[in-house]
Amino acid sequence: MLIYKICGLLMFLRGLFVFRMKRKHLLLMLVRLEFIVLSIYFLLFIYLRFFNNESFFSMIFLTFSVCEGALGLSLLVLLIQTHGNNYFQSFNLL
Amino acid sequence: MKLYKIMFFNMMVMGTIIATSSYSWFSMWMGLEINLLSIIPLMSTQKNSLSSESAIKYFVTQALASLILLMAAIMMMLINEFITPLVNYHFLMIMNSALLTKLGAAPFHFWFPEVMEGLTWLNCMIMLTWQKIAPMTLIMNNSMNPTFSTLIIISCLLTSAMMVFNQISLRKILTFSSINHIAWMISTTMMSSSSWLIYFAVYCLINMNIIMIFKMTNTFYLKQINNIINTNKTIKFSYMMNFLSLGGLPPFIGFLPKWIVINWLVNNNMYTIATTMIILTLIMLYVYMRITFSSMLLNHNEPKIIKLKINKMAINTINFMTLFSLITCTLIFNLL
Repeated sequence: MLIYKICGLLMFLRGLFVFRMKRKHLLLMLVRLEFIVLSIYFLLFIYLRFFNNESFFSMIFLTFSVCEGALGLSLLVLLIQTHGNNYFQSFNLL
Repeated sequence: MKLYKIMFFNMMVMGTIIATSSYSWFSMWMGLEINLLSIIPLMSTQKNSLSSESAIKYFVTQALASLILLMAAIMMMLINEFITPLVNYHFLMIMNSALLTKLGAAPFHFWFPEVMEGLTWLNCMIMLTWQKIAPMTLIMNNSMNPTFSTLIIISCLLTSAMMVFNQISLRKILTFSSINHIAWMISTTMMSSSSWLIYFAVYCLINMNIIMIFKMTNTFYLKQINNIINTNKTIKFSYMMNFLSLGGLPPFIGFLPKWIVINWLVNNNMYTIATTMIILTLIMLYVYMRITFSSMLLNHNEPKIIKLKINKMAINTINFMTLFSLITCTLIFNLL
């Protein structure tokens, strides 16, 4: 049991850490966000085991996170339409 | 009014209502997600590059905050093997930090000025007023550690006071004033929820007045304020008084919530926090006064030939109703 919790938490923390180390492209940041979503999905499975294995909420969570991922990608497309690339360095200094 | 805007606006409102009326942390998370997902199309419909940048910065920070929130909510129960009511204080702090990121409170405020800089005035108003409701009510409903709370309040006041000095963009000035007011609102969450309601309602009203004037005259920077002042004497007057009200000076309505907060803090013997809050807000007041100096002290010529197309009726009535209603605050004593 403890190994599951530690594994889930570590997955989440790794995702956050690599999120911080942003490189050049925004697409990688969105991929990182999806990784964090995956780690929470894993944690959610462990959590829902305590409710007599009723995992319906994991489906709802998956729906929401897929919508979020799709929104992120459409924002990336918008960014490429307006800026021409998805580099961080080409953002305005707002 | 385009159809998709109406739909997304309704979804945004619905998301906040779901988040505030939820019985569990999962439905709270869902409400926050619906709010985020429906406000992004509202923000990113302009065809310039600034709004798409704002939208993506807002999306990334808020999505990350939601995920951290969900992680904290799950781990809180998982760590203690579901022995309630033992709530793990460390994860509660993580959850509160995620909610404060959603608000834009310092030290998690770095996304706020950048995002606000690229938005239109209507989106600014939504960001400053409506988006604060859901995280604030959620912070109110989970008990925040008083030490942590005090730390957040003081860092909010300090960062807003320090960073607003060199700003010329009106949206950024309103952002930092929002961060300042968030500090006061967090102090109300420690005490009672009806005082939060009063603070928030008054803050929304004043912001609405200010943003209405700015939107109608299309001003975004300090130098463009001369355009507002030269139009009409009543608009100049109400613009000036709105900023003084935002600073919390009597006899305006902005004094009422601060008075209530200080009253509660002193009743509960929190003298240090009260004094610190008052002193640090004075710096912000200086910045508001600096904005209104040109309208308060200088002589302006009002050209009668060229007039701006503004809805003078709306500005005059709403401003004078809200600004001088400190007397009508006796009507709200039933709510307290």
